[in-house]
Amino acid sequence: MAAVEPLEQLVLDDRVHGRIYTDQDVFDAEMERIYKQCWLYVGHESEVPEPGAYKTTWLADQPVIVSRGSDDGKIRVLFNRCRHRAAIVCQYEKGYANFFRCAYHGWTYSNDGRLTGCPFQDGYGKDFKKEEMGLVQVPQVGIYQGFIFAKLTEGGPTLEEWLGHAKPFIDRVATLAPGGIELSAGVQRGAYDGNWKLQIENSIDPYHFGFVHESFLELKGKKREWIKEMKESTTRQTMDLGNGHSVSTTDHEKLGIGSYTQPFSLIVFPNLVIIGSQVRVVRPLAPKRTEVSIYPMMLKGVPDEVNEQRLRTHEAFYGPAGFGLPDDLEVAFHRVHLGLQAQGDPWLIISRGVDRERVDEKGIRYGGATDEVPQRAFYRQWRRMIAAGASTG
Amino acid sequence: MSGSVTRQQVEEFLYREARLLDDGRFQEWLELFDDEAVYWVPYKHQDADPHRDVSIIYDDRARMGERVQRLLSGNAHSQDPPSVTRRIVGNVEIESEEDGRITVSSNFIIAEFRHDQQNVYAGRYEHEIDARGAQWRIRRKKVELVNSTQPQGNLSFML
Repeated sequence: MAAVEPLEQLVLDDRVHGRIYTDQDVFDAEMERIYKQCWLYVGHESEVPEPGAYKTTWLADQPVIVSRGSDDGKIRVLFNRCRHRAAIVCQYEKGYANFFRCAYHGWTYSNDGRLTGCPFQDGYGKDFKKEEMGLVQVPQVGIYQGFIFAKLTEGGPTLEEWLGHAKPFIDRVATLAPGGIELSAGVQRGAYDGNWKLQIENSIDPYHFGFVHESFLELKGKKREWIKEMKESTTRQTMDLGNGHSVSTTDHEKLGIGSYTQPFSLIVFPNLVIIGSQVRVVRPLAPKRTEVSIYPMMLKGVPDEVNEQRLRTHEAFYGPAGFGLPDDLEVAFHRVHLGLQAQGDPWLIISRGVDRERVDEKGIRYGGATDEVPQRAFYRQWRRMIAAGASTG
Repeated sequence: MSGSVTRQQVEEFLYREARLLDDGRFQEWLELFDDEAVYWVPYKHQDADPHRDVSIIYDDRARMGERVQRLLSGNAHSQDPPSVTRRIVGNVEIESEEDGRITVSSNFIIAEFRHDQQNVYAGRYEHEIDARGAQWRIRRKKVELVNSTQPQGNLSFML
């Protein structure tokens, strides 16, 4: 199936080739040229609130520990792999630990990564240097407004440079409540047999809503209102923020879809989405297998009833038994993958609104509510990174 | 357990609920529930607090009604085609009984078939039932899936 042409030719300005969703060589290139080269979201400070707190997660396909040092309170991102014989040293999703002790041979690391215990150490001879055998730290860690990012390679833009025009939107999320936000309500984890990019494309796509989620709009008696809004609204827009990031200023709250206390949804390239009242992380597992983690955002410094109501509103639409999300699983992922097998015309169209885009002095591109601006923003960056990765080896 | 309600009565009630769900008679299923009923499917098995933790489902009676309405509307893509289900309910135990209000624990296995694939779900039901009148009413139904913390797919059928 692998073709000879450069992979970046699978993405054009107005369409993308179906192979980007199915081919192993494309997936491998994405892992190497995108996921190793981008700042990737690993968690929120509220998940590791105090010294000694940790959470485990994945940086693309690599297990890591986000750990707040007991002594210095500093957040580190450590590869979850014993330096001895590679077993993960922490198997729990989150918790508190001053030490991570490998269950295999008892190697013990402090939660800042230092190797503090190596049973019968004299067996390794005099050249063995304990101080060089700590858990390996991920090369770069950055925190912006409580959102923790890490990067698997050195160099490149700083986190703030990378976030660029997405920063003001993250600022607004971080200040939703007097005390900020916290991801304290747990996680809804889902998985589907389909490509990871389908979830990103679907995360900001007001165009699909009236169709995939027709049953939801009917339940809420909002179907006509939605269609009218999408056709006529001039305040709703989509924006290409650069670096693959995009935003939709669609005010879902009016339509009862989640507790949208900020009137926008944000995609941070490649795999973080902040939608209304949730943080959503997309994790590619294979060309046709993806895991999605949804963390409801709770508000700090508000009455408990406010957060409980946010949870209930969130659950109505999201999660595996919500009235919305399963319909995306069915139509936007399952049926798309069935259709991708038909090869008559292998291209998918992302040109909606391309002729009515406006660009401001900062380089931000604007489109209408249902325009495929976010999709084009994503694939513009995708193509740039796939091409750059090919040229640098 | 000495009380006026027998395990056989409870089993017959749970079997009837199972049959209504597997036969797609959702409106009749809904009528088994009290107006103040809660239908809860937590993620965590222990220390789950629906007021602080996100749940798979935490429906009040009104939202249960919406759930049924959506399934019966024909517009829910995630149930087009609909899941075919059959379930076994067993290990039924009356855990407590007070003034005709009983708490019942049972185990279940559900075979769900959709899109050329069969999925098997298993877990524990906990029913709080008002068994005072001729018509018993469920006050609370809690569903503990054994794999609730695993990444889930499409759970839009009835558990």
